Amino acid sequence: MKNKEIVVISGKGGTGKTSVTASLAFLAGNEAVIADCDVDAADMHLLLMPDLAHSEEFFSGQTASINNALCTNCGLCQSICRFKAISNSNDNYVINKIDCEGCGYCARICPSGAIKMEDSHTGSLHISNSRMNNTLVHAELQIAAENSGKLVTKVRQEAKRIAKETNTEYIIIDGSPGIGCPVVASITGTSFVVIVTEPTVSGYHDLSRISELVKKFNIKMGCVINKSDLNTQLTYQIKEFLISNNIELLTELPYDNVFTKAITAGKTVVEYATKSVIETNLAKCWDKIKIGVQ
Amino acid sequence: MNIIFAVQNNDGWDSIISLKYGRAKGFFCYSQETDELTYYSNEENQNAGHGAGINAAQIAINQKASVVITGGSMGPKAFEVLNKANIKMFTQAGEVSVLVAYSNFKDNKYNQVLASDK
Amino acid sequence: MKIAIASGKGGTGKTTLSTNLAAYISETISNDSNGQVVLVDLDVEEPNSGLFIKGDILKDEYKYRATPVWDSNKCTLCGECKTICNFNAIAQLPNTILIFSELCHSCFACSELCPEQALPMVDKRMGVLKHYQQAGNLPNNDKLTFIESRLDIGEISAVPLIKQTIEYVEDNFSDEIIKIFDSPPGTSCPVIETIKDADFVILVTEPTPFGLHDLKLAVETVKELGREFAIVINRYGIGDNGVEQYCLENNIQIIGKIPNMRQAASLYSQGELLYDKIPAIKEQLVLIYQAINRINR
Repeated sequence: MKNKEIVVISGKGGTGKTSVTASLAFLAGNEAVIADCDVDAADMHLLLMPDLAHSEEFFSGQTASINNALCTNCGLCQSICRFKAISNSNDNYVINKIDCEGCGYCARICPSGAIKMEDSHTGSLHISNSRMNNTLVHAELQIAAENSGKLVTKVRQEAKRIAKETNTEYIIIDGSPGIGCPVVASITGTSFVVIVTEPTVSGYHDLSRISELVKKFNIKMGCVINKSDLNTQLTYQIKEFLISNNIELLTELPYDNVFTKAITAGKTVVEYATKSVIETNLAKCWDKIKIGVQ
Repeated sequence: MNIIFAVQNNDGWDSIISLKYGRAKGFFCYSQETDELTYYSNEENQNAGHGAGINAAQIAINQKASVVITGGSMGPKAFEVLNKANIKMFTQAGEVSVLVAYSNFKDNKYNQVLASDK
Repeated sequence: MKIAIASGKGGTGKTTLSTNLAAYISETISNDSNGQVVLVDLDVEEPNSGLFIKGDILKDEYKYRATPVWDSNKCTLCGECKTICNFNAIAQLPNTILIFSELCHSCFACSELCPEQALPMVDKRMGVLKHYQQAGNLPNNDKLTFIESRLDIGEISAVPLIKQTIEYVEDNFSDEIIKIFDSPPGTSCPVIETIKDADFVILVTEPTPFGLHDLKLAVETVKELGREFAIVINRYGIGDNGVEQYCLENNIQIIGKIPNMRQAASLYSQGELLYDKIPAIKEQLVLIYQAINRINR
């Protein structure tokens, strides 16, 4: 069976992307492996309540460190560092780890070999069993670490491996925000992209930027308009935009504090608001995605 | 002629072709002249923040390869480097063994990739 | 005085607070002669403040960073540059050196260590900075300056552009002027760049478990950088009291609670400012401004 990867993205934050993804995870149950690629703000585990069955540390890039016993205080390193990461305090040269970009220039030119490059710890990766009868692959980024596409790629790789081993048809990915490298790493090679948007000027603006990006990858797109009754005129404009860009309207959800209430209760919105229009619409949405992905 | 296979594991001719190129676990280089199959680990490169494709392409260039075979995709940067180095790329192998991929390649079952798929 | 407005999670209301606070301050200081406030949008990947604050453009300039270019006449193809580059930005072909400038971090190592000086550094465009004066949609608008930078698509790091934008602001406005930085979301490099030299950081959060989870990460980051900070709770009234509990336990000051109102969401959706239409929100801005003034003294 070929696995089908479905990724949920939004451009800007706060549109309800994670609430929608967690709901899809609940609706899919053991039909799917879940991957949280929103590593900057990995929140899905708060709703899926995983058991952290397996964790591993993750390294990416390098940071310089000075051995003061070898250092002759020549100051060459400080003079060539373009990131102002080397300073001198009490006649000792020190590297500011936060400013160091890991270029290795200082280590290369240090005449006394006092500077070494060390792998920097950038995060941890977890593979867990969620309370929804599926596996969740998630990660957390170390503070001040660079969110390159690498940790995202690793999360997806693990999810894919598990889906293969357990013969699971779908992989549902909570994608990264923005339009940069991490989001590219979350959507490349997927079968279907779900964009969660809202009828606000910034939501609409980000929808057009993000769909432009997805188009380059030639992947089928569907859209969820959250809070659609907040600004009916903009919702109308978004729908026009979807039609002219060949993006399927998956569903519309009303502005409702129940989203927040569900999060507060540690539940997905489909579990919390049973028999509501939100539950019905999200269930239909999942059905449409399953058809769309074929 | 030297042929590079992107692989998921280090198991000689039985190794499985990798769907990815830049972040493949490793590469086998097969020399038709000497009939030698040599493994090159790419694990360090799997951990590169950016530019994994460029580094992986460099491995192919260093081994004087004429052909690169992967299972599914080729990133834009790897494509650019390999293309400029006149190395032919084939990306439709799927997850088969190196042996199967090589025989398919010899039987002209793959089409050469002429543009990056990204 | 530099005030960075940040949050762990996206969509908590950073831009809402930044734009409304800047506009409100510009209004209150309009009577004394030299007062001024500068709003700077440093979320260079997705600058959104400009949707709420409009003005006349005063200056518009491209921003550049240095990357190497290959001089084929001088190069002996020794391959040293490829070995030096820690960012995989250089590939060596049989007769060519290929440079991927979007991966270059401008460390100058390859250029300065090249034995043949065959890799001179040349400026490459990375984005554009726009400087607006007299925000046009506000009544007392001559006290508010708005600056935004936008990263070119395809550039992978926002950090150099953020750095140069802050430098621009520091060169053009004296220290005592209040500068409000609208930060990017998250806790990674771009945010660090925005808050590491700020005099005061305001962390915006939501009173939900998601908000709290991401707030904790943001608090750790700010503490690591040794910055003075306080919390503003947005959409106050929904969710639970987890954030308040956390702040109490950790002795963190909450300087404002912006109420959750559908009217606010609706005005935001139309690109409108809130404080001039919703008195309950203006009241909170008054409190936040008072807190800022306490720090400033």
